[in-house]
Amino acid sequence: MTHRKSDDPTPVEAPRRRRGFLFGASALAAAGWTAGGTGSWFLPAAWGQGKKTIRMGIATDITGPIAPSGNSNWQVAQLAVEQINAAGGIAGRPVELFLEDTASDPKAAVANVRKLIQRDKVDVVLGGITSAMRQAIKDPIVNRGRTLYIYPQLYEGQECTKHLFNTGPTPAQQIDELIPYLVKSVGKKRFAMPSANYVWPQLLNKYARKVIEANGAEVVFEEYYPLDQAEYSATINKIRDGKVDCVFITIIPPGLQPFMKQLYESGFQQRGGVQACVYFDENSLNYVAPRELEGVYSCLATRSARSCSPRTRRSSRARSTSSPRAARRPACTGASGSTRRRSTRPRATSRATRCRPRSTRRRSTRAPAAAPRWFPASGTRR
Amino acid sequence: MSNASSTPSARGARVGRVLPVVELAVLAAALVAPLLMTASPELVTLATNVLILSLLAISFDLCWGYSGIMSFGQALFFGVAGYVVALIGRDLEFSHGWGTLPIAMGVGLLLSFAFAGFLLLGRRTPTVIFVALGTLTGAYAAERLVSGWQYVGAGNGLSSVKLLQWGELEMIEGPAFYYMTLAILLVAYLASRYLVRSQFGLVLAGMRQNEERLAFFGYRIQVFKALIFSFAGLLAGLAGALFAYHQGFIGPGNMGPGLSTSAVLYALFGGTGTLIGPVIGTALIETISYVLADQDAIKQYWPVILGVVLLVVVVFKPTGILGFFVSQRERIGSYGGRRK
Repeated sequence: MTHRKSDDPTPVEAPRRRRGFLFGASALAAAGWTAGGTGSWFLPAAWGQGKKTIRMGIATDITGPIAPSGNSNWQVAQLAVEQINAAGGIAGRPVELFLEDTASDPKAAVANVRKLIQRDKVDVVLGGITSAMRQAIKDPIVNRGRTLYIYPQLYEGQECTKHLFNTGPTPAQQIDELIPYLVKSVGKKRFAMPSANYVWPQLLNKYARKVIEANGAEVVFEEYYPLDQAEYSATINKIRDGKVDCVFITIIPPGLQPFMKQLYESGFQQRGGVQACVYFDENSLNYVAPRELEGVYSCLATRSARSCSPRTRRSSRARSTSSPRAARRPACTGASGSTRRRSTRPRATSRATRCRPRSTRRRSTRAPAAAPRWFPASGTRR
Repeated sequence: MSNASSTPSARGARVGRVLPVVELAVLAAALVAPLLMTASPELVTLATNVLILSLLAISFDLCWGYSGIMSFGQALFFGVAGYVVALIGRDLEFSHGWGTLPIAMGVGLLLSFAFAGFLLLGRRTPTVIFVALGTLTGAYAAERLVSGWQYVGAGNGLSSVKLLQWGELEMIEGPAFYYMTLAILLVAYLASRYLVRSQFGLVLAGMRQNEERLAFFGYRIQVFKALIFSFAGLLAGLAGALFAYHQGFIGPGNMGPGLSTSAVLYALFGGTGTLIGPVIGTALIETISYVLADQDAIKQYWPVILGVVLLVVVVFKPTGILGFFVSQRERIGSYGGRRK
């Protein structure tokens, strides 16, 4: 409720502590407010029988630099919930959506997300696009809010928080496919890593550098810029002078647009350079001009019927990884990352993979191709 | 003395009527507010936020409304103190209120004193513009610095700040945190009130009206300015620590010019030169923006609407909302040993 002990008192706890707790509660009541059920914070009443709908909060960037992705998240969520409800809901219970804008700004987000928890009393929160956003809002949701949180984006791994479920691919699952392909099949040897300065690029680059060097290529430079940097001429010069032939981008909007524009205008692509970026999907077209996306290699594969068959898994992934047109292909990942197939090889050994509950690792083999799914629908649940 | 005292005291009784009433009304409203919000905990969170930001607004008002220091750097002291308590929680696993809140106050005090040493006591004449630009630059530089510094989380900021502890109790947002903040705000408010109504405050008021004259009277005005600026920094630091504990998050955006400007607006909107004005301004602005942001029809435009409202008040009512109720004379106030 309003306060809690540093260690949760269990029902079999020593009576002294309980008395202390009761004393505290009565003192609070005496101080002037009613204690509304001392046990309610421990197990939400909503989990009981009485409640019909599943209240699902969407916290995503409706405004701000990341708004194009956030708006498509919200639209996909509405579509998915419509389909789930039309099919009878989850375990017979319809889903009700609530939206809060995280405004591409963790400072505003931590306040807005609280509205989902405290006012709308949602059962689960989905959302957050950047890892910075996830880190900012996970505490208000999971620890302070005692609510489940599903983060559906590709991310850097190493996230092991109780009641937080990451459903996106980790660096190992993306880099282990993309980099060898770039080095061996595309033939790129000199990588540059311009990055936004926050946790995801830092950890992703650490892994990518290892894989690049293991494959016999080299990293010319790895640099971090403030997220909203608008001027990259020094970086572009370094790319030209260092004879970089593959730019591995982890810059995110709003810095992404000026970077790609300036890189394109420097004639990098004309000199045969390619760009690689693990988060590009069709939403990228909302950020940068199509010509600047020429020659982008992305590995945010979209779910296709073919990719669900184990026999063709490797080849289909290679195909979707390799296609320079991947970014322009109409696909079904408004909720990028959520519908991604992920490697189950033992080599993908981030802690987060291991601590993820089995249900999120399991994949449906009969999934329809068209519908992006945020949540295991009742049909595939066993 | 006795024959002269009748007139000022009678006058004091006449002019000093509205402000204490407003102060008591706000206090009463603040005391009962959570009781009316038991059904909606998010409003208690909002109210706690208002109290914390009020502290920041008061710290700005002490600078501008009382001493004529245009400080755009209050968020800097706020943010740095917030980062410090968050780091203490993260790296030292320590978040007891008796330790961290004084540390936060100390950080705010030292940092603002360092700024005062440079801006006010330095060799340059501290004009209003110079001080405003100096503090603004400081806040901006600090924001850029932390957004590039990986130890403090860079662009991520610091999240999952350890909960504030008082002995066994861990303070999570809710009525308990609210009343704790209210108590702290009350102490800070009374301390500020005592300060600005003392002889020290009289010097500040004289300084605000006519700096040169005070200087010719033999007051070292820059020293007075530095003292009040440091005290304001202390309050801002305290607010920053409470903010970090309450939100569970502190990021670069919490220490930049954006929040500094917000503090300026809170104070101007409510009414500078009174201590209760910033509190009212903060409550109004935060409530209005909370309500506007939830109206679907104007979701896109609410910052514009809020901006227009602020502009209208600041342009047409320079004394702020409080100017409608409190006379100019009472606002400037009476000083020193009236009670003797």
